[in-house]
Amino acid sequence: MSPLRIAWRLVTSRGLHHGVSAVVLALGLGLMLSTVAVGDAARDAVSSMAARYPLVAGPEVGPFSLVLGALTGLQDLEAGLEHALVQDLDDDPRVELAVPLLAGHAVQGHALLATSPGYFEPRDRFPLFDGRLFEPGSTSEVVLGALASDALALGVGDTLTIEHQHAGAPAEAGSLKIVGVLAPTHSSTDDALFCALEAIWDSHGGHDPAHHDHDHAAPDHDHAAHDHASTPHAPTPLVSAVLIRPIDDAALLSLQEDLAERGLEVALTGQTLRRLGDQLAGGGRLLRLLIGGVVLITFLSLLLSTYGSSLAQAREVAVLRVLGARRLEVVGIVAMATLMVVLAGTVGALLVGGTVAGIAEEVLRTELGLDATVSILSGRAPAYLAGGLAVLVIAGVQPALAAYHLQAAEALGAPAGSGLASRSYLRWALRFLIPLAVFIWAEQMVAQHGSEGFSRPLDAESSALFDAHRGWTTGEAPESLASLDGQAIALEGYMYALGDPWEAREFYLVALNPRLPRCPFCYRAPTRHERVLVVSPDTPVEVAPGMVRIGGTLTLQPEERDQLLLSLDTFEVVVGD
Amino acid sequence: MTTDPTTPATAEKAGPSSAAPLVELKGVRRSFRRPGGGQLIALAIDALTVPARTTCAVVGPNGSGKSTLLHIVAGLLRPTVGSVAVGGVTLQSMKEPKLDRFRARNIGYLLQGSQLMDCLTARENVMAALHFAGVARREQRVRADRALERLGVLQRGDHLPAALSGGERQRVALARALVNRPPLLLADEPFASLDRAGGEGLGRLFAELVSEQGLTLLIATHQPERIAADLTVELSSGDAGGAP
Repeated sequence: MSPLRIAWRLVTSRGLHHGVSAVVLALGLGLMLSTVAVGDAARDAVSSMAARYPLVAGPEVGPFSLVLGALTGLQDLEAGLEHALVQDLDDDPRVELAVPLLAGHAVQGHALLATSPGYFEPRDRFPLFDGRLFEPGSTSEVVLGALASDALALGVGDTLTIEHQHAGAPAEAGSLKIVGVLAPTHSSTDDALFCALEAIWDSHGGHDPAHHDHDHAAPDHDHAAHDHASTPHAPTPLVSAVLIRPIDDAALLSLQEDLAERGLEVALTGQTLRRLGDQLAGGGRLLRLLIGGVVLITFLSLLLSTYGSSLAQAREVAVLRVLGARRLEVVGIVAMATLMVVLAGTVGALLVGGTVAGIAEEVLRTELGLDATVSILSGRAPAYLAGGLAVLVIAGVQPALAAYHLQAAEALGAPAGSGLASRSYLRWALRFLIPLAVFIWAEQMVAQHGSEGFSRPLDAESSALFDAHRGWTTGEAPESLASLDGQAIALEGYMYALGDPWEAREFYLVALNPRLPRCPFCYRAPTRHERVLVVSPDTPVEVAPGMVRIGGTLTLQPEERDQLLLSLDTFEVVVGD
Repeated sequence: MTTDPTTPATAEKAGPSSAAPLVELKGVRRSFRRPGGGQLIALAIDALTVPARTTCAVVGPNGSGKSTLLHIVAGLLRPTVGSVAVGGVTLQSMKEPKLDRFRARNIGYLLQGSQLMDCLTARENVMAALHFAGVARREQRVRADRALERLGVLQRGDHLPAALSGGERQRVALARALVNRPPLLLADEPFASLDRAGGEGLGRLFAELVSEQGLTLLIATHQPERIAADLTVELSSGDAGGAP
């Protein structure tokens, strides 16, 4: 007989009670973890997408439709942009990469997307399973996504037949040679076909390929309904949208203005997706509300469970004391029993959370086109797990403390459990609710302030945009600052602003010393040497959603130079009221 | 013999015994705070001496403080005032962990209603008592089986208490109380749940334990006729509220 065995018997003797407790823990904690993980993954995916193509240009269909259509394929896009625009962007020094898209075509239910090879940059995101990519400008080559290849039972070297029919004309059969098959990416890419723009233009014989959202190979395909003949033949080939990666944020700002002046719909990818998320989820409040609800229900269930266990164990604890068990031995036994339940619940939570996260990842990839990796072991989820476990352990200690303070004679001389029942339930519950309140408060702080950065007028989601565009420029390179002691240094940068316009009266440019510890979940106030600059404009600056240029002058003090040299590349922007 | 708990209780010697005292209480008072205020005196004994190798019956109506007396002798309750010594060791001067260990090794306690641990089998209940007395794990099973066999319930060793009859539970509880060979056995209403035959059998068993093992028995009971008590302590209800 050992304390561990007694603890195990205490658990198994009320297997149903403790089993239900473990299941409640597993579900509650698992759902909380997966909810947080999905939120993080979606945010990261949006940030990643925004970083790859911060700008999308297209016909005036609204920013949501444009971004969703261009990046996720969730919206159909008309071909309304002249391809000459793409050529202009290719020649523009402000543009690092411009990728044209021509959507709206399908072959046997698989979307056919015409684009340039640049679409597949970076290459490691679109590994080839077999073959190669189509040649730029090729009119006869096509690349298949992994699922499309399986579904069509076609591989490299095979020919993909495309039937195309124009109103009043006999059907024309075209063909594209399959030159490559992409490896699975677990995204909407897997189900699509890719070819060069010229392949579509060529199949249309110079027709405007606009609104050809139809299946070329479908047997019941009714081209008359599409009224091809009524579409004027465009002398210039058209595309649906252009994904643009500027060379820097300044270029992004000026490109946005220039393209808008040309009458195009220009959307900031990250901002648009985040606004969409705000509209869908009430600015993240709904998500936080759900998390809070799950946390509350879980821990209230645990509260009742542990309280019930304490009552039920009171007699056993008293008997143990009669047998000569010391208080600490009893505490150890009860704590072990509770921790066994918590451990089972935690393992279950990881399984539940992992399963839900896996399902959510599949949905995000295939249904929403987001290249998301949902993990309950990264991002904020481990912190939530740690916080949840801390509360659980505290809750688990409660029965042990109750056992410690139990008067054996009292429990033996009265009906089982009255030794605890005579205690104030409210006082007992408050002991538990205090750490729970701390946990919920911490969760809300994390939710409000984001994982990094802190901005009062901006909503928490903008911190992700800051992260994506952290490399904003300074007037001087860090190395040159050493010779500028006591001199004025001009600093300038750009920031994204979301939400309603407001008047900013102060900007804080803060350099964080990377050698000092940073709290990954909250804003750390800068030390004396880290606060670099407070810019107070003469007149309040109207901050409207979009890119905002900010700047000011810093007089560098010699004693601050060392810290600055360490940290000038880690600027964060904090906007005051 | 005392009828008022606020006045000293004394032991009435029923038979010759010149052995050294195993239990000694002097000026013991135990009071509890009433829920509505004031003090409830549960036990008051000026002097009680129980010699070794004797059987002492504690009788009295419900609420007269019989269980409180046993809890105090077992070290589970501290007297409000007064001193308690078992085997010459003053209990109230001992720190609690030491007192727990002392109880494990020197005092067997047959609780009211058997009070076995429902989550442990009969054998494990006995082994638990050995564990807290510091007996090595490899010896626990052998000694537990020996104790169960002595009480005639070895064949029920693997059963949970819920599967045992009232008499079997009582015997397992007795095996657990005696397995560490304590010099003192406290028994709280041991005959309460037994029929006539079972009660008589248990009474005979107590007598054997005293004569064969030299045990000292302190038994709180409403049925003193079932035991051959060497001395009897009678407590009256009065103001005493018994165990809380």
